Amino acid sequence: MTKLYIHPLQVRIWHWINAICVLALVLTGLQIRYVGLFDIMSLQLAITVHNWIGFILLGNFFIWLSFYLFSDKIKIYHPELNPKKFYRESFGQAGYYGWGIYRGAKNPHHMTPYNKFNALQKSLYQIIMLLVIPVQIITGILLWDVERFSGIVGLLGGVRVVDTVHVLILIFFSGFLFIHVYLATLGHTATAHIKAMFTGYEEIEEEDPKDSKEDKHDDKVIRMSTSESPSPLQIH
Amino acid sequence: MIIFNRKDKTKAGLLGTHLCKPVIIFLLVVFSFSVNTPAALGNIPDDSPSAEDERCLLCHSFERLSTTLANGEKLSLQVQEEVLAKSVHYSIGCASCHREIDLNAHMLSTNKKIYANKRERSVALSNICHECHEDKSSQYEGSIHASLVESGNLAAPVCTDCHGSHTVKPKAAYETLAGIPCKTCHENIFNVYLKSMHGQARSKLGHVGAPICSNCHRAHDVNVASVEDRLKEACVGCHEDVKHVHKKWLPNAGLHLQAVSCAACHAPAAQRRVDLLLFDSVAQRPVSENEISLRLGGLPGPEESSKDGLDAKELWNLIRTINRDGSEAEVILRGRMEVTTGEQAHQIAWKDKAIRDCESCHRDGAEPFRNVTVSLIRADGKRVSYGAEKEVLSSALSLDSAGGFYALGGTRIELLDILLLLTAVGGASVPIVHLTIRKLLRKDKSK
Repeated sequence: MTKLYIHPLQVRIWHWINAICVLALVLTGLQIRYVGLFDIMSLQLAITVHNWIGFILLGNFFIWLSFYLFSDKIKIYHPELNPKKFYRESFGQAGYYGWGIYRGAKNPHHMTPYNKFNALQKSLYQIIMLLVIPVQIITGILLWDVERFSGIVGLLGGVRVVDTVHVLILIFFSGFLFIHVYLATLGHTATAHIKAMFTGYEEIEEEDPKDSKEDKHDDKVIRMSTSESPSPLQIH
Repeated sequence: MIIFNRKDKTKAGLLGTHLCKPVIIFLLVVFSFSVNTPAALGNIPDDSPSAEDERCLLCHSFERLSTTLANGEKLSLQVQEEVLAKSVHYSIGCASCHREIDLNAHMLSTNKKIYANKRERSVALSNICHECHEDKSSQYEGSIHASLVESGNLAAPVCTDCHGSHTVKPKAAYETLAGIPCKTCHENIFNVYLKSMHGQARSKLGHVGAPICSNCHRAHDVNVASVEDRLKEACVGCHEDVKHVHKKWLPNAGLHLQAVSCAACHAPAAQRRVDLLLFDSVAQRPVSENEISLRLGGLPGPEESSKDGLDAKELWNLIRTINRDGSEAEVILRGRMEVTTGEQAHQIAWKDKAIRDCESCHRDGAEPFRNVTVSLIRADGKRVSYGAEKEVLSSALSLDSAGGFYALGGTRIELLDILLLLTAVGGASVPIVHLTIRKLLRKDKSK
């Protein structure tokens, strides 16, 4: 096992704030939508909490955006432009989750600081961070003060249309959160990826030398055995 | 100089009245003397009738003076001087209003106009008011009362119905609870108003600033307060800080003030409904009945004649048909929560009784969303409502037909609820199924 510094501090802070915000937004969102079906809190309180957390998520989004805009780590989100490679890697990863994992196969994706996401994660997080979250933030702001933004709301088809888009994304997250948490347990131990999201270090199994054809950035990373120094370094 | 208009020659003279001939001859004699009275010479106090008016009153003070209209109605022609003396019109004299009368030929004329009925006469004589009160008259022309008169409604008031003919009082007299003429026709609503906090504040607590009918509905350009934004304007006219006060506790206060009528919360005993008004989003005004009728080639009967009301697809089709190619206007449905009847709209309670419980509306099956109407404005300014099924607010088609109206919880689209359930169950199932298969296969492997 080697430890790789995969998750920089800013990303970890963003991730956990985002996780708490999304969870709270989903729960308060469900309370707002289903008043009477369950009453954890009053509608008025749910709306107030939902609005405040929404603005925290908005600020947090800009932490994420500014970090990646001013860091070469943005490469982790770069799309795979080679369609052949894209489909091969995507199907390979889907095959691993859908079949290989049952047979004890190794994860075809080898994590490095500049290649953090597997092909499926990369596509999904591109969509989530550049489309889903921004759309949810924008529709949320419009719904926060419909009168103030009545012109834009009208252009988009009315408050019902804006709300429906907002709810569709809530629906997406209500399913995504289960799968996201489950996939986080598929490390070499059930808590490995989760711990890494606190420490920043992912424990990576030693690679077979013949499979070690990762990108050039790997060469810049000092790989450290778990038995070695507890303070691994990363060279950019 | 009094001008006597000879254009409107009447068809029957005083001879046609119920006074017998000897009386008339007697009056003529008296009349001939009366022109030489001190009053006629100008030596009269200011509060005495002019010589000309005295000539009129000579006959018209008789209680039995009357005429028969074409429909057989008996019309009293008596004018009580003591009543006339209290009128603000006393000083202007009879001939100022009764210009068509030629005093010289009045009693003997045989071609006086015979009105079909009292109503026709009131409408005709009211036109005289317009000549002096042009501003009030033009306001009246735009009122629902004028529209109803034009449409032939016999109960709709003209000037004299509210102000009287010879009893016109100063403006202040109509601004008291005792002097309000509206209660003559709108007695039920007036009684509800008296019990409301506005009525109580005025009648029992003596707050002269508390509104009476004309403060909300206006005195001459009377209209249905719920049409367009007039009711809101009426309330906000006095309660200027309404937005600020609501913003303190009500999320999206501005939207609530737009989409919820004041009475919907401030008349807690009232039954509420959602009204979807056909609205021209380009011209920014409600669509008239005529416009819709032209585009649809006719209209269905009002809600009373509809058994189940419009369903979601019918409403969607209606909007699409109205907005089909070639129409400049873009008709949308502008939703608003209102109380069901005019009487309920006047049941305004004290502030501490107003509905503040958000859940009373924002929950599935809330009362206002079970009563849905689709409405348009008639030429006379009145609203015509058609019943609609409550599903018009929860169907997926409402995204297109009623995109501008949405109430959290209360009008949510059912299809999204199903989708949410499937997604959440599906999302939770993936880990369970995946983990189960992994464990089962691991056991197989270990064997």
